[in-house]
Amino acid sequence: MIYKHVNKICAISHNVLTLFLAMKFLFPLASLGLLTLPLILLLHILRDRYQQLPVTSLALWYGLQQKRRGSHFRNLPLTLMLCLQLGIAISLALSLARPAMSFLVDYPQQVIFIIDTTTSMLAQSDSGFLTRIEGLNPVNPLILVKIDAARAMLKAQIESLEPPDSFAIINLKAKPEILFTGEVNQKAQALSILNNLTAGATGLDLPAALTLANGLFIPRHRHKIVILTDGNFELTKLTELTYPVNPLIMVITSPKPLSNQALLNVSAYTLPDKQHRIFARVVNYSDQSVERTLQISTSGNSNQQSKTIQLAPQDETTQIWTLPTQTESATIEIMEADALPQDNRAQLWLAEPAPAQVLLISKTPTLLAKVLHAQPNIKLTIAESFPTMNQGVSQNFDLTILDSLTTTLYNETAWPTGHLLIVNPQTADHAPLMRRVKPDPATAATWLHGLDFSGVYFKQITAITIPTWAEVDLGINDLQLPPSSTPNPQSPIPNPLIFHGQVGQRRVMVWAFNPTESNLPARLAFPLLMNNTMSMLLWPSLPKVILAGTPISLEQGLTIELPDGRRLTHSFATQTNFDQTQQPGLYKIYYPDQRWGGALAVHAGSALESNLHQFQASRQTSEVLKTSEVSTATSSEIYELWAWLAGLALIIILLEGWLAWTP
Amino acid sequence: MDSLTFQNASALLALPFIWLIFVWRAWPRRFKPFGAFLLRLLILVCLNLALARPVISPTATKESNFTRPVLLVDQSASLGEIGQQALRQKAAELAQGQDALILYFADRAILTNPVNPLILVDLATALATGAELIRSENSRLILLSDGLATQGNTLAQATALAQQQIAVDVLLPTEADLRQWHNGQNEVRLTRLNVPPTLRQQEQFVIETEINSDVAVGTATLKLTQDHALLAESAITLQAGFNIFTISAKADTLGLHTYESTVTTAQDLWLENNRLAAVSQVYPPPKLLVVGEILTQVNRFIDLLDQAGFEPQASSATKLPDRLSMLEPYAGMVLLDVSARELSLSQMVAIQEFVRSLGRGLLVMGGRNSLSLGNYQDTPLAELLPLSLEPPPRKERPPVAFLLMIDHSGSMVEGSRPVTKLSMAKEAAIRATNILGPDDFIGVLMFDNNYEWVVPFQQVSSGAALLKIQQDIASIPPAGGTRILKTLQVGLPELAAQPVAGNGTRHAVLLTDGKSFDALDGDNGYEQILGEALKAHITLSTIAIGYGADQDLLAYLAKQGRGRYHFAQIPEELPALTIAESNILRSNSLQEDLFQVSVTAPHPMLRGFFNNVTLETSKVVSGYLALTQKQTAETALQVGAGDPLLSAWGYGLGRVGVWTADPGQEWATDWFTWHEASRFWGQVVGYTLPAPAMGLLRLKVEVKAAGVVTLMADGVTATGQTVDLANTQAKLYTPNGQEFSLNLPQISPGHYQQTVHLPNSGAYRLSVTQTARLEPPKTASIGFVVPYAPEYALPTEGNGLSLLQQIARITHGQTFSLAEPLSSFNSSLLKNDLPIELWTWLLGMALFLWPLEIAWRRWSGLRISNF
Repeated sequence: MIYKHVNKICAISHNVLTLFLAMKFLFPLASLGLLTLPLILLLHILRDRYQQLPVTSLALWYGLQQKRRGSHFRNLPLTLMLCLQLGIAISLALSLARPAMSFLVDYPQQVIFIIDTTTSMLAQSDSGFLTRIEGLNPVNPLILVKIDAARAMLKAQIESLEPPDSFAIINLKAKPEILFTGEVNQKAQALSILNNLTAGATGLDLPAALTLANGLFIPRHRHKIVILTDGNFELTKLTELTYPVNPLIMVITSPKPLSNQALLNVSAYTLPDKQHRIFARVVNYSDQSVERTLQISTSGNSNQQSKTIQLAPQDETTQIWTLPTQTESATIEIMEADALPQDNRAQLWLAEPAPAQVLLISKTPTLLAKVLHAQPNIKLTIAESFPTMNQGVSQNFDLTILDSLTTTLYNETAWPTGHLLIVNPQTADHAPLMRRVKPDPATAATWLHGLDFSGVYFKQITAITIPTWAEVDLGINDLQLPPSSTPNPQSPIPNPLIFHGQVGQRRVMVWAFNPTESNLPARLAFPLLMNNTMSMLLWPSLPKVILAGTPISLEQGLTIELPDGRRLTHSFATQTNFDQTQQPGLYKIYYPDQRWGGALAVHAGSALESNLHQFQASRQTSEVLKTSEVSTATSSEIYELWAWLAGLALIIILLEGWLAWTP
Repeated sequence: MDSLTFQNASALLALPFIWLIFVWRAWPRRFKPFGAFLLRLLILVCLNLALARPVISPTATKESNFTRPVLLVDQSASLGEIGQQALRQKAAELAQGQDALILYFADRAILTNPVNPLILVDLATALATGAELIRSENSRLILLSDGLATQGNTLAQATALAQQQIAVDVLLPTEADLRQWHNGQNEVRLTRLNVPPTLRQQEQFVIETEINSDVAVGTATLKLTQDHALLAESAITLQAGFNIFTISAKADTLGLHTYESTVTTAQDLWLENNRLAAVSQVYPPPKLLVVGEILTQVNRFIDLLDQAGFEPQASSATKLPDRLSMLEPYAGMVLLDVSARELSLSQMVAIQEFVRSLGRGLLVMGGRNSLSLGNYQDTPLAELLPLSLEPPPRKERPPVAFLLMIDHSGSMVEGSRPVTKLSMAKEAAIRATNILGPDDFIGVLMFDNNYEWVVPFQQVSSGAALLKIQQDIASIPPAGGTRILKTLQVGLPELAAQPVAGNGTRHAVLLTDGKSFDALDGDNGYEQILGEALKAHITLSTIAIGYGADQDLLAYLAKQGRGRYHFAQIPEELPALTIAESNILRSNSLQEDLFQVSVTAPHPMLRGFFNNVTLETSKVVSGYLALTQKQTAETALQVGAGDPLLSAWGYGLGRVGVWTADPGQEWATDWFTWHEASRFWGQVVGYTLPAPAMGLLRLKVEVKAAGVVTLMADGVTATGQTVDLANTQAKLYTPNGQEFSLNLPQISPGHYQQTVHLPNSGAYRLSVTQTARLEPPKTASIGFVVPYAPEYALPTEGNGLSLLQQIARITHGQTFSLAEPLSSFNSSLLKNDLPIELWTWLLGMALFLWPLEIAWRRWSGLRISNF
């Protein structure tokens, strides 16, 4: 019996000791507070002060303790009070030392899903697609399109998460982007995003996606990265980089090899006689010979040609057609279906794009008109003064150029519509500066790089105060500033030669020099400067062909008609990229006033996406990533015990006080 | 203002109860000892407050409510190891106690980084990735970098961040920081090696090497090789900043040549940027057609061009082809003092199209028979010149004295023509009077065997006086023979006596259809009279009427008289010729004196000549034709009152240059005999010539970052059609002599392309052969250079500090320094301050008061019960 109790006491002591040894002190220096213990002991060793008490009879004190002369100390009385006081001091001192214990905590999970949305994910298979997870049993949902399989797997993964887990979704393409971050209770929002997710990008950047994923990690969570891909990419930089978390790769594969033929490098060239030369490569990305029907048709199907081509395994052929002048568009198509139908059809827009309407207002337009006429895709109207409606001239100019006119530079209401180029401004408060100055190439903006200003000089510039909306593009190489110039504190370059900015929706550029009083017009830099200026002020000319998913730079307010007929308005505040080019076909552009702006063709066929080789790259990916150093997120927690000790001290001090103030 | 909060406020609820209990317990003893009682209460309060976990937090501001900051830490080579370490340390300090994310970036992916594996590429990409990770509007990026971006458009990315309201706080390293990071080592880098990309054989050219050094370097070695053979090696001294060194060379061998420049110095941070390469293609010398009437002039100029590496060919004006197909083999043409009257209209049109449509070059040299003195007005030649034939506006033109000597011998009225020579001569003289000004002087001398003043020298005047002059001219009768010498001996001295002051012009025109009795042979009288006329600044022009005239004599007289010789085949031409002479006289474009030549502005035609800073030359001309520069033309040399001497402009596809002095026979002799004449005129003519044609197979190479090179070949037929389905094979020769064979597949009509990765910097050569059905095989070569890695180059967006300041300004971020203490940094920048917990202070207070309370009780008589 006693043995059992002793064992029990030993076990408890052992556990307490173990617990105590597992404890660590975050501020061990505070344990110097234990020095109060000997102080308390000393206080108790010191004798009490003797009290005088008047009594009526000495007979009552026969048992009285005799005072020992010569000693202030006594034997230490081991009383309850002493123990309580020492206990209080120990509790307080230890709590100041911040004892803490590590516990393994079951942190919530954070999963970053990276889903491949390149064009190859649109591949189809009658046998459906498998999703293989490295190290786990394969899952076999019978889904006919890869992206749908990836979407289904991703949804299943999200559904398997439980609060308080959190997750994020990253779109894996050439420029990965974060689609969603949040907690499990927001999964409905994520599922909605997934439902609207489309594939159709060319190329992907897995290192960038992994960088984003690592950046999204929330501390005190168990991190996991899951990549859903068909493995149809090339490894480039992965071997050079290491990541703290080893991603899990879910590969979407087909039980049977996918046979795909694709149209690549479909392009057009306008011959000197204005006919159109069409070029296309037809590639057979399969291990079997195939016979395919290749058809080219023009707008309105007025001109249709078909031919049958034979392709050996992994072989290609090139095809050339010549289409007559006035052909507006052409469509080349492989008539037979295959695993990736998106790259079987390519369209081309052959008609010339609508020119930009430019109005030049100048009393001596010769010089500027000559260089403007040399600019491509511009329709120039020249006037001596700003035309009014009464004169029957259209007000819808994309760009107005004011040459050497008196203008209130900073009064937006005085400006015509459209963008604005002000050349040699004549304003009441900015007199022309008749001095010979040279441009300073070191101040040239990026869009002026490549222009050779060596030997160029200007004999007349406008000493202008830079407006607050402006950004200086070119300054002068002249340290002797005229006394009237007032440098704009926002710009270190006074007396700029060229500056531009955005005023509302209008782009404005100012050439603060007189080109006729300069040798610039005699230089090659002049037409190039005008060309670059047009690009800055007007929207850049559309490329004729881009690959699916490639962003293009578009003006704000343009309406884009997608191949499926939907119309979108590009609504960014400034000229930024339009990236909704996943769908192959012709994209038609309209100006804000519904004028025709041109068209561009988006092609799905590319060597990167059309070759549906499977799994090899992803195997390499996982091997590379597995050999890299992996540091897993720790899931331990430190729990401080000071509050318990302080609470214990409080209880003991109450008890001690109860006893000490006993009546 | 900071605020006090309790993280466990519920613990405070116990305090009143605790007090109540204790007071109730101590009441019977009337709280004695009172001091101990108070101490006990205080201890209880401290303990209770400590358990409530009071915290002093900074006041929540907008800035402090942002999500985790993202630190972008530069680890590029430009920092050096010390700088990289310094930035990592600063990032760790900033991230301490913060929930911050650190992203490292470099100009290229760093192979191993044990500190943090997240490597981005360049500053612009780092900003973009950081922005992608930051979602809330009040987020901040913190940038630790030296700002030396060599790739990407950082400012454009910063602008994009500003639009997303993402502020970037920027570390601004000081000069001391930068010096420390570079460990005091200097950096010398080759920034430019300029070799003309195309040269003609035997052409002299200049190789320009630009070296940038952070500090002045005492000695360094510069070595230049051509096709791996040493071309030059010299010891140089480098100043801080940019240093330019030039070496002259000659293009001896045809074909593609590679050049490499290397600089070696003792103190240099990186060696990767001490070597640069360039390529140049040497073409066969271009063919030039030199047109002139004076053989010595033409031969001398041909010699100069020959020495300059051209293949010149002489021609006279009459033999100049008038069909473009015959002019096509020539790259350019030079007209040496050629009069427009020497050229037919079809020849002039051919010259015009030669420049405009074929894009060839033309240099027109002045003289007494050219430009405004050569009847270029209203001809196609006038249109293609960069100078207008109108002289520049001057002060009032001084009066001229004009002498017309008209032969009225019997032969002048012979024949059954509707108009006689004499009548046309009289008509011409009358028209001349209409052209001259009222203050000009005119004299009309008719001669046969004798002479008679029809109009003695007098002012032209106007009104009745002019009418009288014209009537007198009209009344000239026909007479006997022809004596020219006598006429000159009478007329010219009279002309010399006219009161034409200063630069006024004295000019005589002799019209005759016959041979003089005092012919040229064996008579020195002409020489004497003309010599005297020369001294009196008299010029003499002659007009021979018909084939019966003594053309030799008249030509001789015009030449000696420094005038013009004209031949009028039919009398009807006389008025026009005379009017032309009058117009020349009136225009006053001819300037004769000693004029200093100065440079108008630095120009490619003058490269390597003269002082382009002070614009001075030591050269003069003794005469030129004062013309007016057209609007888009440019003048390289000027003379006199700022009149153009050497001008050029683009005309159509070609270029035209004009030299308003002569080809060296009289006004500009020195310009054609000085030791640099060959190189100078070679350069002037070369400027007008088009670039050598690349043929029907055009090659182009695009060199992108990280050694990714795209090789492109475009094939067209002679009619401009694309060459399709051709077999295009390329051979690539590397800097270390290796050869690779490549196929260039077709990717669009006529366009063949292949992308390769060339990790080694240096000069490469590419040779492409294309064979297509129904087309002859074509071969072309091109050289290109893969530069050293951009991280070793000079930054592209200005110096680092200015770029960093601009990033902060554009994004409305703050700036801080490396030495800024963490506490002040945190308080001023990272608004996410840590709260201050007070429980330790309270517990410490309780522990301090506890023995005091025990002591108070022990000595205040409170009996401690023994339990």
